[in-house]
Amino acid sequence: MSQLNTLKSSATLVVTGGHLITPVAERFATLSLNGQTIASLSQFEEAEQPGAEVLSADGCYVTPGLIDLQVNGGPECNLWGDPDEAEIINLRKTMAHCGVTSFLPTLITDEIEHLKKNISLLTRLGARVCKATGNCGGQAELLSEALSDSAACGLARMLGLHLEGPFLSREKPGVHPQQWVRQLTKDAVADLVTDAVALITLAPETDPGGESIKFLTERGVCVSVGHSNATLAQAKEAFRCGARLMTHTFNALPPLAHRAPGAVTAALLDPQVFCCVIADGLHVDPAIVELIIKIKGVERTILVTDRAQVGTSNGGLVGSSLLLDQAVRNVVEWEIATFPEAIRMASYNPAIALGVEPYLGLLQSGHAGDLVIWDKQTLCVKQVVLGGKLVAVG
Amino acid sequence: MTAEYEELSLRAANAIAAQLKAKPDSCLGLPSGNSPLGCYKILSKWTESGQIDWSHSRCFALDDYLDAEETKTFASFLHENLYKHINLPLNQRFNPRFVDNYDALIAGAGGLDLTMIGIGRNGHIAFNEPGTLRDSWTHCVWLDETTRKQNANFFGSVEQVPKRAVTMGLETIMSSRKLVLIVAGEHKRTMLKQAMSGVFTPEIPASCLKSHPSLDVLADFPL
Repeated sequence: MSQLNTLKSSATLVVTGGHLITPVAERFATLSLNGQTIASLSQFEEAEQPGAEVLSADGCYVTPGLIDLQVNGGPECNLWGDPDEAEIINLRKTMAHCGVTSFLPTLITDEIEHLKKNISLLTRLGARVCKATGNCGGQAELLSEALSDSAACGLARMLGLHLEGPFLSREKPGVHPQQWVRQLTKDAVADLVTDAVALITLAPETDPGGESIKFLTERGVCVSVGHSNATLAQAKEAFRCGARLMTHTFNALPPLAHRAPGAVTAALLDPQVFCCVIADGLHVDPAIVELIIKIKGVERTILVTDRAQVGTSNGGLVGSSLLLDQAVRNVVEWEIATFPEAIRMASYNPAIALGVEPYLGLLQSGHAGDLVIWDKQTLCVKQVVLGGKLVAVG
Repeated sequence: MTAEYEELSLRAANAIAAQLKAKPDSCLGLPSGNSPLGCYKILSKWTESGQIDWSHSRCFALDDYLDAEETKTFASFLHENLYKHINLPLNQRFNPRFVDNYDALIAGAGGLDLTMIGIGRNGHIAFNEPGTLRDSWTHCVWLDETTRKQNANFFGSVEQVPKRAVTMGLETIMSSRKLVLIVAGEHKRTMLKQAMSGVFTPEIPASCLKSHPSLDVLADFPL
């Protein structure tokens, strides 16, 4: 109790009048932050908080910060080339401004030494995995580790790396340079994957006995099936061995065919698997996004952007030009999800997939103070709070 | 109907709709009286347009009069204003008048997930009048004179207002996982402030609410 009182009296920021999408419930309460974390969701606390900054959210939704599992960069940064520190900072700022308070910088198939160079660069610049694996720390420790990053400067957190390759199918490389696609073996994986890797996209069909997937999941790396030509049986086996996601469902995967159901069918049918989808209206038709949500439910669908420097700007699909707040607006505008459902698919679900939901992805006491304030009419991002600090939104 | 009351009603309806969406077999505690009428109208509309499904939910009236003419009971009120407009099966509607051990029934159904409550001018919640024990469960009460006067309109005159009622206790209400308090009317502002200002006092039953871990207060005036 005394601890609770301390939290209340030292609240640093209170958000009043908002319609809170937690997103597992809708609340109407004052949200108090204490330093970098959420202290409470309640009413009649403002008066007891002298010195606290008050942020009015009248006419607004308040949601957890968004989490994007697949970001290859954007006009300001190319993670496929040789990004420098300034480019990464610009990318982290861009993310924060559109409400993405956490993301996974994503490296695609590349020459192995060059890939390793970019892995160590991003690791040096703060990309790291903070989740409960094995005997590693309690919630409080994990939270403080995640927060120790420079969120104070308005830079989105990098929750580790997403390696999209190089262990992909030669038949389904998408825009990845084919010459660097590598055979999936446990040794090759062990040589490349460091502690900073949170998620890896791979084609499971060349993994004998699911050995590599088991090795990765034992190390706490999330495995996502993608860029794959796996049969239904091969994909099922991958999910049985511990793969839990599908990367940009339908893209760089064989289409649904009634006599060759393939990996997409396996992912759609397995209730444990999260299907990630690029909801930009170009990578998949809105009706396909609706189909995915109908089958998986809003509990097992994740909105990602796959944002990249080229994106869809030259008419091709070289990654997307999407930002996650726009993906949220898209599915609402297409009337295939409500706003709270869209928020769930862009915050809480990716947090669960990464295993960070004990401290990210929910508006709940003790969670990180990552918030997005949205105009109720336009669904535009009005304000972003990152680690308890207001980020200037242009 | 003021815009502020409309907004209060919309928020309350949102909270309930979100609860049913997140957990279709939710147990809900529902009040009677004027304050929730707007919310019930919206919920009825959303049900008719297919946005809410009540078929798996269980609804528990907070309280009811004893010795009242059937049309004046809260069972009848909830039927007229909500139940007849929604797809809530008959055997999933509960009222403390018809159940011997309401609390055991609620516990057996998994406990209340969300309970909406109003507040009386004397600080009562449901029919827990001033003086009610904090650890009270569902029980019968003699109604306070203030409460009887407040409800005289429904019955024609104070004399016709029943003297007895049955109500969920404060512990029943506080055991609900979420609470939504709706406060319609500026005249309740002082009582609300008092109830939310400090520790529990039996003289203001609503003062127990402040210690609930998930309480949303919705009012049609600035708090």
